[in-house]
Amino acid sequence: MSDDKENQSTEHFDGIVEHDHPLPRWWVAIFFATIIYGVIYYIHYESHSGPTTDQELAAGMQEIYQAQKSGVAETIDYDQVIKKPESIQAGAKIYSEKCFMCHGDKGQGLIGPNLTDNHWVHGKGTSQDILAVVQTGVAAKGMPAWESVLKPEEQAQVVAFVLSLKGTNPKNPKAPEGVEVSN
Amino acid sequence: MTEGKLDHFAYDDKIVRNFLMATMIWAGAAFLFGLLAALELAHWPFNLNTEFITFGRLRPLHTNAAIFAFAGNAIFAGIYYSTQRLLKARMFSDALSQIHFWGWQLVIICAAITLPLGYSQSKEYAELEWPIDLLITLIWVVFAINFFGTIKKRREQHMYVAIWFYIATIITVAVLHIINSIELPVSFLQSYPVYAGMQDALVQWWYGHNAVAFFLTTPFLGLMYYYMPKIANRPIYSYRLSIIHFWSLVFIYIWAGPHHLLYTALPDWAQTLGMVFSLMLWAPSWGGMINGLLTLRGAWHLLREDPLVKFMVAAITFYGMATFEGPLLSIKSVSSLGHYTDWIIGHVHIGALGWNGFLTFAMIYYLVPKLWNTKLYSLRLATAHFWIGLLGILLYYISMVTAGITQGLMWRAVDGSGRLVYPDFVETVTKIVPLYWVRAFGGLFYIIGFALMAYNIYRTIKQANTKVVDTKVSAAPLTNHKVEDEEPHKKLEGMGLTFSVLSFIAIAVGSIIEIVPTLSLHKYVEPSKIIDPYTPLQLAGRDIYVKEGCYVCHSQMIRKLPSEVLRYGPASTIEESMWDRPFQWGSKRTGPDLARLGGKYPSLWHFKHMMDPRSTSPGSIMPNYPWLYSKKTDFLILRKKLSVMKGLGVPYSDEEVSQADLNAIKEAKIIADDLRSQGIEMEKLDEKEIVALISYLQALGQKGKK
Repeated sequence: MSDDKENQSTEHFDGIVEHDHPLPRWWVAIFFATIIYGVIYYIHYESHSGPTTDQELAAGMQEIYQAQKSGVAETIDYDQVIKKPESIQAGAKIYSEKCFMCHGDKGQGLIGPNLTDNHWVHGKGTSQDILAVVQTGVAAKGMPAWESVLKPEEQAQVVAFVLSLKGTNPKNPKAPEGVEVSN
Repeated sequence: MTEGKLDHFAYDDKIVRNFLMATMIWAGAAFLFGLLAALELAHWPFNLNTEFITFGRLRPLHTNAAIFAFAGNAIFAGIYYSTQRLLKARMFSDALSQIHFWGWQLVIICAAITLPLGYSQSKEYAELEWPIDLLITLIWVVFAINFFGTIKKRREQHMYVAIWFYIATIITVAVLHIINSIELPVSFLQSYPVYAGMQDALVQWWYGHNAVAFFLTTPFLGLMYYYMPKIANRPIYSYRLSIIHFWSLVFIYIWAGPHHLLYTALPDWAQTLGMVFSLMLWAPSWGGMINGLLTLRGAWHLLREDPLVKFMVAAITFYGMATFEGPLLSIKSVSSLGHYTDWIIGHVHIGALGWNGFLTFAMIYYLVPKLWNTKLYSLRLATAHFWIGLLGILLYYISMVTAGITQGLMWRAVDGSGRLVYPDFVETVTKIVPLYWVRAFGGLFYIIGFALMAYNIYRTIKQANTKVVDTKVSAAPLTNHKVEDEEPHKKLEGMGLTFSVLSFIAIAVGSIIEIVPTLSLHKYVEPSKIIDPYTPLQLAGRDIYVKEGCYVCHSQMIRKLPSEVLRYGPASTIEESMWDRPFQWGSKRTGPDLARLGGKYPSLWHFKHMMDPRSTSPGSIMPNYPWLYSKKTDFLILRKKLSVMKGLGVPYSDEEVSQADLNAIKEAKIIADDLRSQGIEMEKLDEKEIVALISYLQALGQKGKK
C-alpha cells in the first residue's frame, strides 16, 4: 500500500479519491503501435503503393475467371446423361428444390410456362433447347441461368426430368404459351 | 477552504428517482421487443401477420427503446445524481429538470407510436421523423442548459473526470443529431434527407457509430468513474491515465464511422481513415477499462462477496471485450467476413447487454436504497440476477458469433471451378436458424434476470416507509482565488467553458475532414454514368420499402469482393444510389442483397413472393406482407414528393412534377395488366401498394444499364 500513498492525488470528489499511477507500459505500447501502424497503413494505401479496392476486386475476379475456364475442361457428354434412365429421378429431386416454385410441382406451369404440353416458348422442346434455357436462362422473362449453380451433370438430369413430363396432363395446367410443336 | 460561510441547500433527488423509474419501465419494454424480434427470426409466424410488429418495424422500435429509452433514462438518472454531488450544487433549474424528464418521455412515446405505424426515415437509430427530431433537439438543449448552468454555479473548483465525459456527451450528441437529421418535410410525418446516396451513408454512419460512442460509451464511462469507486469504496487507479484516455477517445472516436462501409462504393480514402482510426481506438478504450478494473486492486475479494461489484466488473470486462472486438472487426479483411452477418449483432449486444445493461443494473442497485433511504431487499436475488443475466449474455453472444462466422464463410465459399458452393442464399439462412433459437433463449434468460431485479427493487421501495426527502448538504461557495502553480490540465478542470470548447474542437476535426469533401457528391460521380431518377411509381414503391423497413434485412450494396460479384452481379457504384434519399445500403443481410434485383424475376414472382415468400423461396424466413394487397398507394402526394426531390437537386422537369400522379397511374396499369394477363384477379389492383413496390423492386440495378 505504500505504493498507493506515493501516487495518491490530493483530490477528493464527493469522497472519491484518485490515485495517480503511471500509465501501464503495455498500454502505452499498444497506443503508439496502433498510431504508427495507422499512419503507415494510410500512407501505403493512399499513395497508391498498395492496391485500391477496385484493383483488389479485379485481381480476385481474375482468379475466379481462371478457375471457371479450367472448369470447362470437365464438360460432360450431356446427351448420354440425359438418356440414362436414372437421370429422371435425380432430375426430379433437383426440380423439387429449384424449379417447382415457378413451373409448378407437376410441371403444370405457374409463374413460368407449362412444361407438360406441346407448346414451347424458346426453341422446340428438344433436349438441346431445354438444356440451353436451363444453362443460360431467359433474363427477360425472369428464368435464371443455372449454369453457375448446377453442375453439368445436374443440368442434364433436370433436362431428363423435364422431358419426362411431356404429355402428363397434370391438374390445373397453365394455358399454353409459345408455339405448338407437333411430335 | 475554511472561509467560515457555508451555503445550505439540498440536492434534487426526486428527478433522479423519476429517471430511475423510467429506466426500469423502458428497460422492460426494450427487452421484450428484443425477445419478440429474436423469436420472429427463429420462427417467422411470430409476427402474427400483423404489420405493426413485423420485424422491419419492430427492429427500429427495439433499438430505439434500448438506446434512447432504457440507456437514455439510465444516463440521465446517473448524471443528475452524480453531477450534483460532484459539483456540490443543486441542478441549475428544477423546472428545466422537469421539462427534460417529461419531454424525453414524450419523445419515447412518440417513437413508440410512430415506428410501429411505419413512419421512419430508415437511418439507423435516427429513424424518427422530423417533428420528433425537433422535439429531441429542444429537449437536449434544455438538458444542456441545465447541465452547464450547474457547472456554472458549482461549489467545487475542479471538475472530476466523470464530468468531462458528460460534457463530451452533451456536446457531441447535439452535433451528431442535428447534422444527421437535416431533412426536408414532405408531409407531417415524412421527410427526405438533404444527403443522398454515398453522402447519406457516410453522414449516417458517422452518426450511427458515434451514437454508440457518445450515447452508449462516453456517458457510461462517466458513470463508471463515479459509481465504480462509490460501490467498491476504492480509489480510482490513475488520474493521468484518465486524462490521456479521455482526450484520445474523444478525438479518435469521431473518425471511425466509415468502418461500417468497408468495400462499399464509399471512396477508398474514407474507408482507410475509418479503419485506421478504429484500430487507434483500442488503447484509449482500454484506458477506461484499466481505470475501472484496477480500482479494485487490493480488494478483489469484493468481487466474490458483493453482487454490485460483480455487475460492475462484468460490465467493464464486456466493455473491454467489445472495444477489442470493434477494432478487430474494422480491419478490412475481417470486415469482409463479418459485415452484414450476425457477428455484428453479437458484437453490439456484448456492449448493450453487458456494458450498458450491467453497469445500469449496478447503478440502480446502488441508487435505489440510497434514494429511498433503506437497504436493498435481497442481495441473494441480486446475485441470482447476475448469474442468470450473465448466462443470457453468453448464450446470446456465442450463438450470434457462431451464426455470423458460419454464414460469412458460406457466402464467400467458392469451389475450384469458380462457382459459389452455396449459391442458394436461403441455404445459408436455414443453416443458422437453430442458433436463432439459442439467441432467443439467451435473451429470455436476460429478461428473467431483469424480472428478479424488478421484484427486488419493488420490495426495496415498498419496505422504505419513511417519507423520502432530498439530501441536505452544506458547502462553501467557490471563491475567486486562483491557484497559480497548478498543472495545466488541473487548471483546465477549473474552466468549464474552455473545457467544453476544447471538447467540441476535438470532435469537430474528424467530422469536418471526413464529411466536408463528400458534400460535393458530384466530384465523385462520373458524368457519363449519371442515372435517371426514379419514376413517380418507383418512388412511391421505394417509400413503401422504407416504411416496411426492408433495409433491416436486405442490403442494396454489392461490395467489391469477388464472392459478392459472383453472387449478385457487378459491384455497386456511387452513381447507382446518387438519387437515393435516404440511402438504402443496409447493414445486415438476413435476406440477400437486392441491389440488382430488378428484372431478375417476373412481376408475378414478386406478387406471389410478398404474399407468401415460401411459395417462391422454400425455407425462407421472411414474413408475409398481406397488407400490401389491401392498402392503397397515395398517388396524389407524389407531386409533392417529386417537388421536394426536385428542390433537393433531383433533375425532374416541372411537367414531371405536375404530372406525377397521372404518370404513376399509367405505370401502375402496365404492371397490373401484366399481372392480370398471368391470371391475377384482384379488384382495383392498380392502386394497391404491392404494385408500387413491384415497380420499385423491378427498377433496382436497372438504372445504370443504358
